[in-house]
Amino acid sequence: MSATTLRVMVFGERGAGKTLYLAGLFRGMSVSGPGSVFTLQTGEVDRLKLNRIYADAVNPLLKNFPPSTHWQTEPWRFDCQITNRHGTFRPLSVEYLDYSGEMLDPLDARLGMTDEEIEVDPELRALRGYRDHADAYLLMIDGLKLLRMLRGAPELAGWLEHYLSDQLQVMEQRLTGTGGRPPLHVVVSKWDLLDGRMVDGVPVTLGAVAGLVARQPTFAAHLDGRAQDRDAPVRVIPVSVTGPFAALDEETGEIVKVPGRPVQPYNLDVPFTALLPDTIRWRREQLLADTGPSGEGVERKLNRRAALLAHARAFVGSARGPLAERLDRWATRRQNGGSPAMSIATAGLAGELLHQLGAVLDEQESRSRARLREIQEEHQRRRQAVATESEAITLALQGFAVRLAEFEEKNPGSLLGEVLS
Amino acid sequence: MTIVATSRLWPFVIVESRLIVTPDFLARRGGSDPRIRRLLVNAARVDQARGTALHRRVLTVPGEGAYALAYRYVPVPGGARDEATRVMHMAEGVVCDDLDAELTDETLNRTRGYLLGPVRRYVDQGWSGPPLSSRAVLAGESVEPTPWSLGRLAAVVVLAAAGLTVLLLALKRVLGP
Ligand SMILES: Nc1nc2c(ncn2[C@@H]2O[C@H](COP(=O)(O)OP(=O)(O)O)[C@@H](O)[C@H]2O)c(=O)[nH]1
Ligand SMILES: [Mg+2]
Repeated sequence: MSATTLRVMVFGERGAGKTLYLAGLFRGMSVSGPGSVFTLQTGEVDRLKLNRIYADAVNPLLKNFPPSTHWQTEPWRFDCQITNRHGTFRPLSVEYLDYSGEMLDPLDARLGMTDEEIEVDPELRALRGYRDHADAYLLMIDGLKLLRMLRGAPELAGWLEHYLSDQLQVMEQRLTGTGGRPPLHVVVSKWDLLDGRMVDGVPVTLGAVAGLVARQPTFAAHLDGRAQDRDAPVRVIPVSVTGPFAALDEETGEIVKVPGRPVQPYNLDVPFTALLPDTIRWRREQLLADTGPSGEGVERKLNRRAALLAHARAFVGSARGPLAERLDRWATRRQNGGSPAMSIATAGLAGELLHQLGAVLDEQESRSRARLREIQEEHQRRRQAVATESEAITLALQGFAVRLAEFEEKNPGSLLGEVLS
Repeated sequence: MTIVATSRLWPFVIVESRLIVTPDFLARRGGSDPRIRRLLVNAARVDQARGTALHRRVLTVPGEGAYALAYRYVPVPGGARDEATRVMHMAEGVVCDDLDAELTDETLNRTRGYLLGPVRRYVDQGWSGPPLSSRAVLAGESVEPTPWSLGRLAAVVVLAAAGLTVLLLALKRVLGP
């Protein structure tokens, strides 16, 4: 358990790729690789379950992919962990909710549910509760459906706009009283099926897909709203759990495993990596907007708030516990006219960290563009030296910034709308 | 603990989150109570990491008491696929009024015959209207007509005759004319 927990609401229809994405994300980030400053940890039973789902998905001896998720909600909680000779530090936790995609649309005739049943169903309630208190959104677009739509499948005409506007409607409903629109990551799943594939004589690229998403009328309006209210940015991130190991059998239309081809996950970590930076920038931007254009006022206000919070924390003795939570809630509400829902995200960040971390982030990003390898090595050295929670979160954030800079450099079209800086 | 012959079993099946066959007493009670209509779908949680292994739980029916619940998440017969091209699965199982009953895959195999028709219908044409009600089966009662179908019996007779002939021919050769 860490002081800061971000809860991510994953939107994704049945079969979009939610379960394999979460299993793949955990798998990839739970073992340290070159340049990684922390690893993801979870409870022992959840670890075994996620590993099993992932192993089944990439096992060439099993012909089929894992089956669909039953009608149920399942939270997966991942702690970022840095371990060295000074101890173990968990500067950040992220929670995702997995569920069966049909729960997003319980009125679908195939489910045959009555209004009363929708009202009382406990799993639907759990989903709504989670959704309405999320700190960030991951909106998954099914790469296979997208490909079929691009190829002109008649049953998918209008699907993208329809699907996006359904989910955006939920996000906009939450707006009232929450102090803004949280970070949104549009994740295009099964990218291995799309990347570079020729459709109508033109190769599919991230730029083209991001443009397509941004042009959908409801999405365009949503982007405008974000820009006007200085809300968090929207990123479009292509991901693949399998890489070339999975392929589309053009004859049957089925996704099949291709034994002998490598499993090469792609960008699974990027949405995770962008969570904290996007949250921090968004919060900072809102503070700036609060105080108007006068820079001096901002500084003073920030300092005052930081001092106040630091004082309160010292008094409470911990960043956790109900009293501290109330304080954060209070601070957040003050800041945004927002609801208590936002307090979890900003618990560790609202005050003393926010300003400082924003600066770290900006500096890190410009530096990283210059010399990636050197920075990774430096991070490895610094990982050994981390001795406090706050050093841990700073280092984690620097790690995120490096990875994001690398991703953005390769994918210039991935940020939609107004870019906050 | 083994199953008592007088324990009652009610088969049920859920495909793609839709209840297709439900115990008759739940259907009756659920008529006026949406909570009871959702009970089974919500109770039959599937742990994906356990593959097709049997899940066992206790099903508490408000105002009625506790029942044993055993089910497994297995491919629907006939190899249908869902819109993501995955093999379509169903949660098939039984509700039993004896909490101590030892419910096994064998138990589910016995009641499976009841479920196949409705599942087929869901896969082929979708489903409209309420789920079908299943009546209780006594655990001691035989569900399939006979353990040995006529076809299998005939096959055994033919094989035995062939084996005997081979043996006789071999003996004849060894013993000489
Ligand atoms: N080609 C390819 N197919 C994928 C990938 N991820 C998922 N799929 C396919 O999409 C199906 C549904 O994925 P799943 O995670 O179960 O979807 P969920 O219903 O959203 O949880 C899988 O069975 C695979 O066939 C991927 O990265 N590449
Ligand atoms: Mg799933």
